[in-house]
Amino acid sequence: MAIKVDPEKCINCGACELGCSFYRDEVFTTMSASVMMYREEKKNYFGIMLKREDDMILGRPEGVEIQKEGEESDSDAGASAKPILLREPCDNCKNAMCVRFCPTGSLIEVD
Amino acid sequence: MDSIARSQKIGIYIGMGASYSWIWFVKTFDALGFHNVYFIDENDVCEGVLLHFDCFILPGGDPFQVAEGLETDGLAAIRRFVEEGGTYIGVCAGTYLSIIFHDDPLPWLNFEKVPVNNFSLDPPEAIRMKYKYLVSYQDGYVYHPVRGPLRVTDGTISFSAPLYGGPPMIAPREYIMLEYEGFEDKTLYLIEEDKAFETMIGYAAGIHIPVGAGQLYLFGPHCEHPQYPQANNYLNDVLARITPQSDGPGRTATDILHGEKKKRFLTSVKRELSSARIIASGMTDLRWKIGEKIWEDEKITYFLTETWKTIKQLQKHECLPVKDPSTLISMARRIHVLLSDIRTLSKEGRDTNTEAAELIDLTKLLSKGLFDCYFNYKRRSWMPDGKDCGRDYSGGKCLCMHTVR
Amino acid sequence: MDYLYTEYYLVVDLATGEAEEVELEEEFVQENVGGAKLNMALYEEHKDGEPIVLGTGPFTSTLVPGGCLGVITAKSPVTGDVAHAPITWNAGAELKLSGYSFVVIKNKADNPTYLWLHDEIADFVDASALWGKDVWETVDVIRDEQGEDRIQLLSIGKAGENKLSTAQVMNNYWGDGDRFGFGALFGEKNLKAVAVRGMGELDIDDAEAFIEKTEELLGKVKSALPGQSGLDAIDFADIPDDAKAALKSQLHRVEADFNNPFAYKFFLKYREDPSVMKSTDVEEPGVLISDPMGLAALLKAGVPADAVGEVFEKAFKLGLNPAAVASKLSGKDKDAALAELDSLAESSEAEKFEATFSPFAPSSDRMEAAYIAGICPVLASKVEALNAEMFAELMSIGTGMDFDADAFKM
Repeated sequence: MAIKVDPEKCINCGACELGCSFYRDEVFTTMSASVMMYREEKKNYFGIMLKREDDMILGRPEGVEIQKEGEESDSDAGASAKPILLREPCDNCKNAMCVRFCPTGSLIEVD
Repeated sequence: MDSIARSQKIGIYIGMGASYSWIWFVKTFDALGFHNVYFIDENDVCEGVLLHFDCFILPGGDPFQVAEGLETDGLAAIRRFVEEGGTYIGVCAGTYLSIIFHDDPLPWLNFEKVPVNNFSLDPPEAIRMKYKYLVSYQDGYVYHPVRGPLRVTDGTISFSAPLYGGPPMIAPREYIMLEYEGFEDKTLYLIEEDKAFETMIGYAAGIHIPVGAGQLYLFGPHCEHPQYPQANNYLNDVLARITPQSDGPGRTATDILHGEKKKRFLTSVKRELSSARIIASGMTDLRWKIGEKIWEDEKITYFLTETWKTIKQLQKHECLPVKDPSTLISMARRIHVLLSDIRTLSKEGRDTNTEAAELIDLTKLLSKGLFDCYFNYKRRSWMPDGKDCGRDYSGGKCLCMHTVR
Repeated sequence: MDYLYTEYYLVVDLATGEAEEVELEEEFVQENVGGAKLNMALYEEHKDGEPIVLGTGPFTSTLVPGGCLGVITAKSPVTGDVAHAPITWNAGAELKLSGYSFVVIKNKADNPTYLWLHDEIADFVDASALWGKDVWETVDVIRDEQGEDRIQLLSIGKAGENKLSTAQVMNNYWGDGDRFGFGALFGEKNLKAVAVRGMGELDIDDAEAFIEKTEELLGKVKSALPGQSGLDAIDFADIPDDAKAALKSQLHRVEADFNNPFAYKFFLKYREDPSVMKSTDVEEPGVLISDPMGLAALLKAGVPADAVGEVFEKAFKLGLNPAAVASKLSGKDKDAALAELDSLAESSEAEKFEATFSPFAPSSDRMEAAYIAGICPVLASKVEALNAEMFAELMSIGTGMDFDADAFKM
């Protein structure tokens, strides 16, 4: 299974961060998820980043971009994917908690 | 292996040029029950501290910088240590540093001629991570065909271990312990897959070379990575072959902190580390070239996170055997300030290499100081005379190591 | 407390600059559960220090839908009684994960101070340079000073500094549910802000059963809110249709509180085309309408719908409660309304206004239970399944202790 991101549906609630962190550590935290919210709060600019094994999905409001590890983003948007590199990559778990607890369908599982 | 067999005195090099991967050794050794673990820098090596160890580990990092830090005296001390019966375990940089893989080698440890199959005058083109797939060496280049997990085998068992620049070696049959067997779904190709295959598969991933009265165990992949339990078990078996006979470097703590003093010390370090952790987790896309090695901000965050976890463990201990607590607090404070400065400077588009170099050094030293506390505490029952000293502290019985030499 | 809460709560004495960690005992939680109810017990215990109590519920920072809520409990300068104001958005969740499920703030600081809570550390930071700065500047300066944009701020603006009962405790850049003049209390205490960042974690007793029950509950919540969000969802606030139409022309995106499936907050862009999705150089393109009842009050007072965003922004920067000052803006055009807000933030006189237990939605048993449980009251007002029985069951699973529905009554 893989995760598909639809940033337009995201409401920035962070349930995915909680869900994925729970999957990894069985506690409630936002710190150990492979998925991470980003937000420029004053501008209402927000989206989702998902770290995968050898790249990163940047779900920005203006569209989805795949960024390879160690390569610069081709977008000049302020949000950066960098902090999430510290996280464990998505292991494509089945029946993923991030998807199950996303209330809007912004994250979905695809084959 | 029983606990007595785990009494080998192990020194891990964390001095100039060592990357953050030495923390993997710390975590894995702790999990495997090796608690006679000490951290050594270039000065310690030059001062002859290796004589107190059974095993010296040179982990991943930048071999050019390690050699620069150790200088002639340090390199000679390591050679002497091995020739006189010590065990040297090299991983990645630690492996390159110890072998001769060029006709005109740089003045490194150069124990034995072991060609590597990823040295070329005309390396294949990178398909990703161009900035870190290639390191220049004399008239040619050492290139890194893949990164991440791959399969290795000792001819009987096969397991997964991650590679971050380590070499495929060409060695006589009798030296070979492990060979690169194949790639995995999660292997990241930095050059075309077929060329990567040609460069790596079938070549030696781990070798064992007797030198004088001692021996070398040299690895390309990181069997010490805590997320690879089978590889960790393999490392455990390697260590089991080392006979414990050294006395260890002696006491590393100057203060035994209890109660309020312990709490105040840990809170002071925690305060600064927490602030540093918060800044680091918000840092974006910073990269520094220090020596020949590329450092990214995520590595700083890794250090801080692991140090943070150590503090959480130390909080649970009844007492804290610590060396120079006030210095550790100052280091933590400086780390916070440096991260703050890096954040400000990078926002202004200014260079932050100087600050990053100091930061990397300090995070390493602070981690060392706290891991020392951790192992000091863990070791107490292992000491020759390490029974409870029986002294009372604020009504609580002291469980630590006043009686240690 | 081993489960759903942190091990400690914090008692801060602003007069002495001391912060004491106190163990959160199981018995205390068994008796007082959390949120507004436990806050009340702490308030009583520390009454002499005229405390402001910040607290969270058992489900704050958990996967229980709507688990975002923090609660401010203090004696209201408006009503003269002890009151509870909701903290929505992300501050409640970050507070708990900072290591302190509850914080009692006593007495008065000698000089302007802000409290910085992170990783079980409580720092008193000099806020002299922040005194006089507006709320938006305060947020930017503190985030910059402490180095992260995910830091959540409860702060005051000029209105709070001037101890006006129309002052609000602000939540980052935006207004929140403080209808009780708690902003004035912050001002009284020389407390410019409380900054929190949560990098901690919470344990669960029977994690598997808790998740199963929570997921089942999420299903019910989603089916109770079919596609509702933003302007169309705030039917509890009286927004005239023509105003809605005008607001829609500025509408950008909807946004939710921490783990709140109900995105009832929405952003108005008036300094940039609202259809622009990229992050541009326009630093302050608009305002988050975080307070539907405040919006209704401003519209009712006659503030033109196309100006209401800018009026909100001004009120938020000054730390004024829009609902409390709405009547003063009656009949004024945009420029006059903005000027009036400046003067209201300076004025020491404020008209009496209605302060209610629940500023976002009508009061009810469910609302009360939500304030104790740490669940967004707006969501609770919409979803019947979010009730005391459900909370008692979930809390029993999550803590391994026994709770019944009565526990979720004040």
